[in-house]
Amino acid sequence: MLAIPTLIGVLVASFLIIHLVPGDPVEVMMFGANPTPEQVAQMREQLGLDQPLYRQFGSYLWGVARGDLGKSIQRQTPVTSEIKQRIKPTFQLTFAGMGIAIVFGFSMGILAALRPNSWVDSLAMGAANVTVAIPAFWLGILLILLFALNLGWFPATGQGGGKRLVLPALSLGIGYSAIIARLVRSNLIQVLEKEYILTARSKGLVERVVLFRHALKNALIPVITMIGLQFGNMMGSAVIIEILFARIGLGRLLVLSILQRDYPLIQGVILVFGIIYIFSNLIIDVLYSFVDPRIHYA
Amino acid sequence: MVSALLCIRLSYRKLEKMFFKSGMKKKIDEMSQSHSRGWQGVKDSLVRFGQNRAALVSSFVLLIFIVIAIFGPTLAPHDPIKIGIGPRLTPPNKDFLLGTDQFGRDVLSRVLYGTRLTLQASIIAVVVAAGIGIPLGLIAGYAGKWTDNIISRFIDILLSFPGILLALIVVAILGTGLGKVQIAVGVSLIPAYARLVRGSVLSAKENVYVEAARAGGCSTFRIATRHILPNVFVPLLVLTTTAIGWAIIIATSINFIGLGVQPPTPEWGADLGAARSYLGVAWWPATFPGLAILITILSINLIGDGLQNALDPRLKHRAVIEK
Amino acid sequence: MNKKTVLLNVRNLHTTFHMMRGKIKAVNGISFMIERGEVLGMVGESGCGKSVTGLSIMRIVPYPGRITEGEVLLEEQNLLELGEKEMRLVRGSEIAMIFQDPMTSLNPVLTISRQLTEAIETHTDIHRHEAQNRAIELLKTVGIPSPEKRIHDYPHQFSGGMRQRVMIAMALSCYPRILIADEPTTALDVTIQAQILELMKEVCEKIETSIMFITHDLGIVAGLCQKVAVMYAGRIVEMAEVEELYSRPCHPYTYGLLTSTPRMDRRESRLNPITGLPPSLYEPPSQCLFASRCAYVEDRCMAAVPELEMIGERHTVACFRSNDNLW
Repeated sequence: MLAIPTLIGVLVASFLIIHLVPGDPVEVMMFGANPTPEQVAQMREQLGLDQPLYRQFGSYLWGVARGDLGKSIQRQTPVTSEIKQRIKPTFQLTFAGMGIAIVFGFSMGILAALRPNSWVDSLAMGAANVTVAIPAFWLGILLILLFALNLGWFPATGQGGGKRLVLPALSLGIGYSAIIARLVRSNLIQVLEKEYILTARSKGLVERVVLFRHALKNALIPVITMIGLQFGNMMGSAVIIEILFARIGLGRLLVLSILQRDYPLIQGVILVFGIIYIFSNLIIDVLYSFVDPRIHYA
Repeated sequence: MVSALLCIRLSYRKLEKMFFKSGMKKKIDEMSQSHSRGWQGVKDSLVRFGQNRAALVSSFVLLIFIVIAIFGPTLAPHDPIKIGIGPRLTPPNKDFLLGTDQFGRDVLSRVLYGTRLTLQASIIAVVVAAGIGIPLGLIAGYAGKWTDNIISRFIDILLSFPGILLALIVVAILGTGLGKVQIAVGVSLIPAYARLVRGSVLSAKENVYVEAARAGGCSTFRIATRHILPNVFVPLLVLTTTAIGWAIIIATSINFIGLGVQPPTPEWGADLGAARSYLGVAWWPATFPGLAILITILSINLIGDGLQNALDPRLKHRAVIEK
Repeated sequence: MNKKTVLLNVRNLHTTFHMMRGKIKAVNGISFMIERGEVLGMVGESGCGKSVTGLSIMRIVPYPGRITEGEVLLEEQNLLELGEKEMRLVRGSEIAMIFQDPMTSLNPVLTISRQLTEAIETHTDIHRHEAQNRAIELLKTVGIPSPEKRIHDYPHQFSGGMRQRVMIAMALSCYPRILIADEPTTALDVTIQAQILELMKEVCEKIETSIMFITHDLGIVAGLCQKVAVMYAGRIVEMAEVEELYSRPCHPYTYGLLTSTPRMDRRESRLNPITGLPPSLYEPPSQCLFASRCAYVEDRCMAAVPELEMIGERHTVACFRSNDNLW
């Protein structure tokens, strides 16, 4: 499968991060602490940076296979455990956002497609166009201003699910719902003009059945691919949203580690993100073959 | 286009030696005329674009923003950086039209100054992305299977890290700061350009070799560049408008989380990030910079849509057949 | 004509498409009848409104088309007066329709089983399992081998002819009284065409279903239909029993159609096409719409619309010169 070279590529890419730093990465990392040359040399040895490149890569791969991603310089804790603690909240947020995007996106898209060129359509698509241009973090701020501080319906910060997840998930999901809505609308309009819809109607089926069983299933196919692609983007945006809402998660970890130039941690988080992305694409491909029976997977 | 004309004239001269002139000359005159139709196509597109109200308004808005970006310093009523010009965190009033931030600085002035930064950053990012992405795509599409494979793998790896993440990786490597952000955003946009150009090259290759055989005498490479670039020009243009929008979002996001410009530089995303702590007492520093981002991106999107509608796919077809 | 045997009575049907440029009169005052067990052929070139007639009867004319006038009586019940809910009860169970291209008229993402059973489940009380058995029987009847296995396949796994058989099975699954067939064999190979036609004839005779067979192919009509209606520019210009029409055509258009077909039994040096093009259907003028192409046109043809008149037993024609013995 094509995923394997990409997987290798991701491994190489995350490995190379520390080696692409202009200048001496160790000095960059220890900059604030004013280290002595001996301390620098010690750190270099600790990180294995004095070894030839291929050996470093080898031990890196070996470490990854064992689940050992090194130790965080700043926190002196294993990278793997830092990541493990934070993966769940990030997934929680991303999936919640995705859920919102799908629910809103599909509703708007379907409504618009059922009455093309009507005021409903223009309103929905106009809203979608504006929504797409709103940066997610600004939307989050607006939501906080309105719903948390003004109306007090939902808390502005905090961990976990339930009420505390609402505003972050909305900030994340609404932007993508606009993208989904536009795609659903255009695909559905095309599908509804197809001849098999006429056949379905000629059988005397209720319009609701024609829409959901016959039309949507066909319109779904390109939308699913798009959702898969957007999943990765959404994870990226989740990084920003986590910071805004002060949520513990992978995104926040990444940003903090970048600020602190904590390269082992950075590399670990990037690797995890890359792997998640590759897997989500794989899952989408599989899902795709379920929805469209014309696709066969060898 | 000019070189294509030259090619035809060159091959015509060769054929002249072999065939009788009058019949061929008439045919080639006809072909030359079809080239001038290319400019008519541009005029038609402009008319179509003008008929799109949303696109026109957006162009106007964008023009205003560009003017602000250039003349910001003269337009701003106050110094955006000096602390304590006005009382801290005052709501919009007649002295400070958009209010003041936590350092007593005029929000309006900061937004106006920020325009230049944002537009500049996004344009540089797009230039970087196009400058690297387009050649990459050309090479990948045009060269042999091996090169194509390697380059495509490389692009796939870049794509394994969605937009913001890729930019963050570059920031992680190069460090924080405005210039680095611009490069980072540019890098994150490279795959889009490379993919588009590569795709166009691959599909144009079918036509090009046939043409090459016919024109005979002209180097294939020359025909390739003269034929492919016009074909891919329209999608590139449309991609660029979308890319500028993405660039703005990614750049402002990175500044928002503090990994880009450093205070006290006025920048829309950074200002929003700073305003976070004062949301409970002041809504205006957190609203207007965001509004500016929204309007800018919306205008660019609408212009992009207008361009896409105006530069009809049918026009693309005509370009291929004529040449 | 025995009143008791008239199944479908279409009277003065008008269907208009409201386009941006104006109104297209796709069906411009059509009247005909179909008797029980009869096969009626609707012949005409592309764009003459024959397909729209079929869609109008089923009331599934796509937007922006609308039925603007007329009556469609299914045994005394005017279908145009029914509410949507009631009309749905008619579609599929009383009147069914099959379309031209079976690749695009079958839903690619649903199994044949689903597409067959949903009509059955909608119109009867039969549940999924039993409906599936019925579907397998239907597939057997239309000649699909190993139906029990193939019923779970998707449309793309069938060949063109097989797909059309499935369409026929689907349409006949609730034993409708009328089957509207819109050019069902046009998209198929000639050899398959014959099989499908044979199948349709056989099955419909067995379950006593009348057929309205829409086509542009005169040859098919000759072999299959008892009665033929010739359509031109949204109107019926001639209607007769099949032998009568072929031996005594009375409308210049019908005559033109019949003589333009290349003959196998005679040597011909030239073909005889009908010159000119069909008229635009935007706001059609009040005259004979064939006049501009007619070899026998006179002044009165441009002055008024010719109505259908009886000129023989069960033979009507809409031409001012029908009695002039022109050929």
